[in-house]
Amino acid sequence: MPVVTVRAMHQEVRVLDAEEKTVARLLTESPNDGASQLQIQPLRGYDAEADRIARLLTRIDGFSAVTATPYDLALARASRSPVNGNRSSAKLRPETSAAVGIAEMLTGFTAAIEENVPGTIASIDTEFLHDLRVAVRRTRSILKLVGDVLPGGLAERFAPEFKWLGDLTTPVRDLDVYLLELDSMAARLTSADPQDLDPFRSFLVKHRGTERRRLVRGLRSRRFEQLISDWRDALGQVARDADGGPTVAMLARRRLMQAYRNAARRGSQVNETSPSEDVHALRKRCKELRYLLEVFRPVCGNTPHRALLKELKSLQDTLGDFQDGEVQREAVREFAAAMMQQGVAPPKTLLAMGEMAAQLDAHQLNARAALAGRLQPFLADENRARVKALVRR
Amino acid sequence: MKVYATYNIKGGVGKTSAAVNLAHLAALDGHKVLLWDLDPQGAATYMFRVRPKVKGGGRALVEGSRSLDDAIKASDFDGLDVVPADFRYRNLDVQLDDMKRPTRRIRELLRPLQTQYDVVFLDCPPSISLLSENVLHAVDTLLVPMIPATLSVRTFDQLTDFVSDFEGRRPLVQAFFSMVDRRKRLHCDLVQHLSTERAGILATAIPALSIIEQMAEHRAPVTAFAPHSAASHCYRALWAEITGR
Repeated sequence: MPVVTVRAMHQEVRVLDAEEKTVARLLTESPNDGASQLQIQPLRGYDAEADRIARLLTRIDGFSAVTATPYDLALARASRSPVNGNRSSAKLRPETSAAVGIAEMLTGFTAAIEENVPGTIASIDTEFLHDLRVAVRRTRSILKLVGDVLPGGLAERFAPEFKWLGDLTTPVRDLDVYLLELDSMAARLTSADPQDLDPFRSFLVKHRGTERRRLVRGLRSRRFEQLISDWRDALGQVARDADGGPTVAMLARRRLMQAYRNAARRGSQVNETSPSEDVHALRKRCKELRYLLEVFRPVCGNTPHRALLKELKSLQDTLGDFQDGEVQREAVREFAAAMMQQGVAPPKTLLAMGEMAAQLDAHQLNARAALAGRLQPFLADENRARVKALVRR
Repeated sequence: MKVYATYNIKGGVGKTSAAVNLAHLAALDGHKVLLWDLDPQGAATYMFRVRPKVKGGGRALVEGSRSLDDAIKASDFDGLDVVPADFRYRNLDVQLDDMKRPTRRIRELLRPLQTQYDVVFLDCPPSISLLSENVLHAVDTLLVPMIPATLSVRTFDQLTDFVSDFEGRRPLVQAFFSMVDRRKRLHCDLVQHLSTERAGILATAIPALSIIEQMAEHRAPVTAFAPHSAASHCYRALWAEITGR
């Protein structure tokens, strides 16, 4: 896996108006070998000033407008070109046999899984594991939601193996998320000092090391290799053999309606006082609908698709906040218990973790309060009509 | 989104200083903060070096031809934005009176910003008017700076009574002593007694300090240009008490 490293000097300068108020920031970035770039960052409400700065600068010799970002420049030096991670559903056509369409899509997800294995094993960036997990989750959702169109009981046969793969990757990803968020959570502490959490960070890092070894073993195992090659063969077979059965459009229409109905039914039973389990059940139904909307996007009309997705996204954000608050709070408690047991938890660290748990609790309460407001537009009659009109005829 | 207003019928009691510093502290806490300067005098706007002008004035906002979103200006501080004052705000009362639900208009204007901001501060002009009634209906917490004097306390009581007659949603009224002169016996006595005896009066008081007056020279919150001063310490304590920490 090739890695390009760019070293650059950054400098920030403020542009002031006559009142000595900042109206824009100028960021210069000078890579060690390459042309420097200057970026104008307008402040909210001061776009006209930023435009004026840009006009003035272009009149100066030696300045020219560029469209390439530092990322593009780094990419030009890399020995491979990036792939579009979202190519999976591009080929889906309404009149294709559903079995063939779905099998091709799953083949795309399999490629995404394989592409992200080397980066995950080499631990270059946490995004590799994240993308790998997304591809696994999409595979599992497709198997669950429309897997029955695949012949020969393929879905039942492979679902447990993909569950194994998903479970294999969960612990490291969870720890990645805690570590990525720890700084911002530490900054929000009010009674505890952010440094009080240092032992917690060390504990997470150590714990992640252990889990990572387990993950790498799994990704290098015979079982994983076998799963991918058997799966590819089976999907290839489907694409070659299948004929007849429902078309992609028919399947899309039926399953989207069904998924929306399930989500709406759950949604109408949930209010501000519902037990957490009901809210989680709603979250799952919404996720299923979201996957189907993503999968069947190519056969859907743009306008209703966009409108429905927007409502769904805002509902999912709130449901996600709710769930994260609960899961993370429980995890913090478990970590605290484990740290106590191992004797690596000074009292001030435990107190800071306690405060963190309380903040997560508050976060969940906020999400709960916001839920009703998000549910209403999602359940509105308009949306039902949108789902009906979703798949192009 | 939590909405606070600094309000008092009297002028010159430290409303703007409180709004500016508390808004800055809230932004330092990592919140996305908006300060709306409703006072046509524009003191808060001046402190943030923003031009005191809103396109279309208060009328465009009240009548809905422009949204509040268009009027927002970034301050020099991360996470803290300002809706500047406009001298034409002095006519807000008359314009509000022409509306269908004249006492709920400010609240309606803030609603679309709910996802953008965590904390909103309204810096209100000193008066009792349709605008102040609007503010009372828009806020979660009303912060009332008071100079320690028997009459101030009476005004505070009038305000609490007025708010308690609201149907439905009522703001929490929290008063605190401001411009406290430690050399005056009456000031010290009132601060000590009232904050312990009376509900709704916070224990933290803001002393009369020249560094707070210097805000107008520095054109910045005291918590920014003198973060280790006694004044900043008091505002931090006040913010901690308000947020219940």
